[in-house]
Amino acid sequence: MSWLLCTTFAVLVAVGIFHVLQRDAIRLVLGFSLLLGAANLFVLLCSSFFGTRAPYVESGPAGGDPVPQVLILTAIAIGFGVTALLVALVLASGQQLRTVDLDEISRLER
Amino acid sequence: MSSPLPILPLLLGFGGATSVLALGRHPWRLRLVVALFQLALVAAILLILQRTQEGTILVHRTGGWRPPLGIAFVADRFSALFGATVAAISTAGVAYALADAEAKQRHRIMALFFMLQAGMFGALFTGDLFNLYVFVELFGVASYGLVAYRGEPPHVEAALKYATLSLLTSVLMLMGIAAVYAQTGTLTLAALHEASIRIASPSLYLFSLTLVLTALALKSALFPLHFWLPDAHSIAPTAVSIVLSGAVVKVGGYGVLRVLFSHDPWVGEQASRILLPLAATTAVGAAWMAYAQEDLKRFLAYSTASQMGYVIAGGALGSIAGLASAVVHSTAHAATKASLFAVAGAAEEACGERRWDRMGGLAARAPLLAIAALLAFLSLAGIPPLAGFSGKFAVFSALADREAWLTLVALVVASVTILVAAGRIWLGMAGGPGGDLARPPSRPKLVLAATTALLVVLLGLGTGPLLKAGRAAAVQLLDGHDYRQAVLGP
Repeated sequence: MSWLLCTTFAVLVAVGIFHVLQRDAIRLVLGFSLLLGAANLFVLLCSSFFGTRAPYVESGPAGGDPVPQVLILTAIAIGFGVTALLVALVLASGQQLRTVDLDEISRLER
Repeated sequence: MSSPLPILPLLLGFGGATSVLALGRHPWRLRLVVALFQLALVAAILLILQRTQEGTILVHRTGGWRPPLGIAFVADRFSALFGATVAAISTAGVAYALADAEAKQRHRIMALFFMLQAGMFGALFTGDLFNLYVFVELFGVASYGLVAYRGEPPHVEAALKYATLSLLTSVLMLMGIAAVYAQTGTLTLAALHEASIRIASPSLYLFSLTLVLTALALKSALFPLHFWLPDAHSIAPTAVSIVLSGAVVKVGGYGVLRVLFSHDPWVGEQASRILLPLAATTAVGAAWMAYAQEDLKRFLAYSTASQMGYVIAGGALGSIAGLASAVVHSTAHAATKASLFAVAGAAEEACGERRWDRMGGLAARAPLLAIAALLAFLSLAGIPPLAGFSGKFAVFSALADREAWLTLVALVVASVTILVAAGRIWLGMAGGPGGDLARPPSRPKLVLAATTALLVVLLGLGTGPLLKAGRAAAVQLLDGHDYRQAVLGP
């Protein structure tokens, strides 16, 4: 199953980076959330799926390492927050600068 | 020893943020709440500083779980010294914001300031790598908000740039942390030392660590991740610039050093090969860019990046003198830059100008401001006996000790550039015919500029104790035995 996760991770990163590099700020946000998803998948990929035991669990069959999955939960919550903030910034840029085109935004500076 | 102190600043930050939002609509009540929580924060940090300077390491295990299962908050000499700097600069920033911000938004801004402080203290005192990521995100989010809150086009643009870059690197940091965990099986900083000795593939491990450090290096504006800084730091409202330039970049630098030197020395040695050239490039490049600026706050922003080059160069040496110099220089630079931004904000308000070459005649028109500016600029340029000199001298002598001549030459070139630029700017600001100001600078801002300038002088005169504390912190950090014993022991 790990090859499937690896391929998904690679595709997510590729699509995410492609979108982040676009001029449209909305696509930047979309690309960013794809990258966040990819990062979460990467955390899962880095964990061992077999042969470890959760702390304080004495008996029963050995299973996956729970720590990375907890990290993913936290990372999802943080990712949700920062994506919302990024959307708010893009919205403010759309309202204030009347554009969400990143090239135009940096041209406005001069 | 076990003590709830390391987590106290964090709780006070959260408490301050929520109380200000709940109670802050009334101006006097707002001031009262802000003053109360800020004083409590400073008191907590002073208490931590006093306890750690005796050599004790304060550990708070959240929920009573022992690491590596639980998360520990740890205050040792190193983090306490950085904490003191952060607390002092944040207090200056909060005071400036109380005098500055429009009344309608003030309580929201104060809430963000407290969130920012909570994030910074969390990052300083956490003993866990993933927790560090969480707090870096927290103070990052608060700082994007603070840069953007005016909602005018340049602010939004600067915040968007800062937020995008910083969030992209934090995705890398998350991946790096996962990779570190996969190789060491732990996220507790204290346990990384032992784990890093028996790493299967050192190069893979260094790569993972690079991902982690990228986000922290961006926060501390290390080349080539510095280019967001001039926009964010110069366009942000002055109160925010004080905290961003004085404290936030220092926390980034602290994170880099803390993560590196929690490991076995081989990690630090490998990292210094990359960090020293990068730090030297940052120092020189940013100093040259600073020289070319006409906007006063933009000059200050570039010089912040340049000075962070010194801090990282000193720290990356991995020697006792090097890490001590990183502590001393970041303290010195924090005070200097807070003072400079306070002066720049007051001068901008008084002259109605952002460009230093159009401010002319400040010596005749606002003598107190001109004197504070002179002291702060001299300190930035590294003239004895001011704070900036002791910081730079400590970095230079640490570099000479380790015979890092190339880096030393680069830093000297950067120093000379900043010296010339600072002299030119002060003469441009202070000299010239007097005349009427657009409006007189407000008294609280003048007082703040004068106080911080005084702090620069005091730090310069009292370098001895600071250097001693820095050395003790470096010894404790590099030895690491006490730290590990305190966190992992019974």
